[in-house]
Amino acid sequence: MANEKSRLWDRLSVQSKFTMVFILTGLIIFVVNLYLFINIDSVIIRINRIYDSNVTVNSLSDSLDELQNSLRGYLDTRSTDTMEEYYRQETEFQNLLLELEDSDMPGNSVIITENIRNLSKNYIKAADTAVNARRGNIVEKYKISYQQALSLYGYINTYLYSLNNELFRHNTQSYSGLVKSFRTLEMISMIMLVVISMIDVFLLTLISKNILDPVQERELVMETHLKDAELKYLQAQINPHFLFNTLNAGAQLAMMEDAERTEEYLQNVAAFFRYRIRKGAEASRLRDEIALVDNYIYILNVRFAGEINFNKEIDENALDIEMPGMILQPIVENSVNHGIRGIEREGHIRLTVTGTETGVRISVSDNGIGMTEEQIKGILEGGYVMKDQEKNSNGVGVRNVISRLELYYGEKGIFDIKSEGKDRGTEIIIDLPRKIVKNEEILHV
Amino acid sequence: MKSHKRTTLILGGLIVLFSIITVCGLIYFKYQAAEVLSITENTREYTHHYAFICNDPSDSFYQAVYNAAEKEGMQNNDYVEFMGKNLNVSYSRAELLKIAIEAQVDGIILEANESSDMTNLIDRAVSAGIPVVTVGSDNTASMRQSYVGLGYYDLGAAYAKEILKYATDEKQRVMVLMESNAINSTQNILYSGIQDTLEKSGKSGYFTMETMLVNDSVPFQAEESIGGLLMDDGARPDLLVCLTELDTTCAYQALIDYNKVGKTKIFGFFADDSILSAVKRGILVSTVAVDTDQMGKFSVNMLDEYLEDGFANAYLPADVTFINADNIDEYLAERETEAGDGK
Repeated sequence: MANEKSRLWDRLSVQSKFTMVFILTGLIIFVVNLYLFINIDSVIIRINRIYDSNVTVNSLSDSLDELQNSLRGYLDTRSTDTMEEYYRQETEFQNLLLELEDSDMPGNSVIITENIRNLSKNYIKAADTAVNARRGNIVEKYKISYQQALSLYGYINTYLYSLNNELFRHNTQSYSGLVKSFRTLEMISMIMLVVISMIDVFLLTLISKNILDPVQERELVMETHLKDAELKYLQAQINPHFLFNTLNAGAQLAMMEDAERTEEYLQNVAAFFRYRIRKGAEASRLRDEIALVDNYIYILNVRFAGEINFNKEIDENALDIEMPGMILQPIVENSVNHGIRGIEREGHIRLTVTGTETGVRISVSDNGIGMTEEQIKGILEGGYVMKDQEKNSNGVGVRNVISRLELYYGEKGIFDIKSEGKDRGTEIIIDLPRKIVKNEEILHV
Repeated sequence: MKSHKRTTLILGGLIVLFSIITVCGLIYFKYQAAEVLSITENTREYTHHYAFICNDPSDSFYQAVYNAAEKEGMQNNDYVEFMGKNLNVSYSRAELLKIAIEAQVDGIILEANESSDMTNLIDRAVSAGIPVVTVGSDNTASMRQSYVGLGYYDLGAAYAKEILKYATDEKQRVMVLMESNAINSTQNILYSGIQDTLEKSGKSGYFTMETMLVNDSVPFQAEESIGGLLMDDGARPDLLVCLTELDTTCAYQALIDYNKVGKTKIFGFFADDSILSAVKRGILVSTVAVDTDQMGKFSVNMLDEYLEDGFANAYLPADVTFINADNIDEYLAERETEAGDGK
């Protein structure tokens, strides 16, 4: 199930992933804030209702004053106008009283409101009695009732004032509570924004990393495949069987025609290529390496009509030492191409193999153009830049030979170049140790 | 694979952190909002609305009685209003009683006195169908339904027993502080209780009894009179009996202020923190602890009973305890435990 989900996620486009992350986080912030605001709203509505009660209380207080004034006015003048005014004020006062009863009261205000309502009823009763007594001109009665109404008026006013105070006290408390709530809301929103931003940044980094990685990987795979294809193409071109069969066929033809030198030449060529293909990456023996050099020199001498004088001085006991393949031939090829080619005098190449205490010393020397100190240093340290025509050479570069020797034996200083200067020839010395170090393990050969 | 695990862990951690912050924040916010709403909405339904009226709303004794009454009312679904407490005009007891009648409350708990004005007002209330329970001090002439309070004769006898402990060969002056505002028969009864008991003990010859009227109704008058009495070496009695919380506080404060501690032995009334501490420090020789909880509770119960059945007990005595140097520690420990239980 989780796998399916993650696969589904992987299949989404970059745009969809980004959009989803933003929509999701935005939605969370929105929902939480909505919740906070709804709560704050309910508090505000509640506080507003109490403020409304405050307004009602004030109107009631004003109306009571008006009613008391009109009562006083009627009792003073006994005119129809003032009586009408009194009844109008009384109706208004009663309406406001009903409104107060309906309004929303907190805490103690409920009991104060009830007191006000009852006191007001008695006040209206006393006022009405006073008015009626005044109409009937019953002096004693209206005076008593008026006194009663007056003291009730005082009580009601006190209660209204107290109610207002009570409501105001509640509102102050609610207001400070509301302010606190707003502060909390700010804080929560702030923290949420920060954390959500962190998650967003993290997710985006994660997603972009996951998107970019496969691209790089694909590039690498493609490159490898291309190399593979190229290699296969090349291998197909130099199909060794085809090549050897062809060369062998040539050799047989030459034999049948009694062209012995041609036959020998073709066999040498065949042996040279076979070795080159087979031993490219494998360990070999010094004996085979020297045989390959012989093949090479033979081919060259056929090509260049015996121009190259190649001498060997071999310690036969040292020939069985194991060494990496394709080492000697490139060095000899190098001596031919860069040492003795194009010199006026007769070119000599000398190969010496001597057994030493620690192993075998191979020396390839020529009497060619020689090398400067910088050139030697450049080659040994790997900084030498080949000229264009050298890059086109089919052979394996000297640098490649040095690297392979170092990798094979696990140490430096096996390979050395000596030259006494321009036109003084070059000597390449390879000290093959008897022991080889591989994977930090010492093997005795 | 490892890094994938790590990122999942970090992401999970962030999401958990986020959820915790959000949930905690929301809970806190909701709690805060609920608190605001509760400020505005702490109303409750009630069946009866009773008015509690006393002479001095700042009197700790009656405040304690009111608190008990309010608590009992809350349990019985009654609203007991401390009349005049939230008003910005300070009305007299008579006016408050009038307001309560005009406001048509369901019952009145009243600290009465024996004045005829009070009798009239109580009768007016009862005629208007509002039952009246007098608490602490009574108006025997009125039509009030019941009286919850002290048996003053017995209380006087108990005071006399305390006084007798200090009988010496030398004749001693005993002064009883009495309320001057109106003829307060309860205090008279108490006074006779003291006198009778002293006489019965056969030791009345050791004491001379006097009374002093203290005007409680005028602000600061009590303090002035008592201060004057204790400062004056000629007038200062050997033993002083206080019958109200205010007189007791004024008397022991005056002793301290004029550096007369020990010169007069004061028998106090009521047991709040400051009075108890005065007993503990030896400034007061004893005080009377009245079970105010019982008084408040009984008052409400009486009204409830009357409204339900149409009749109620005419008299319910509240428990009193004399506290002196011998039992003060015990009393304080007991009170501590009760307060602890109350929480």
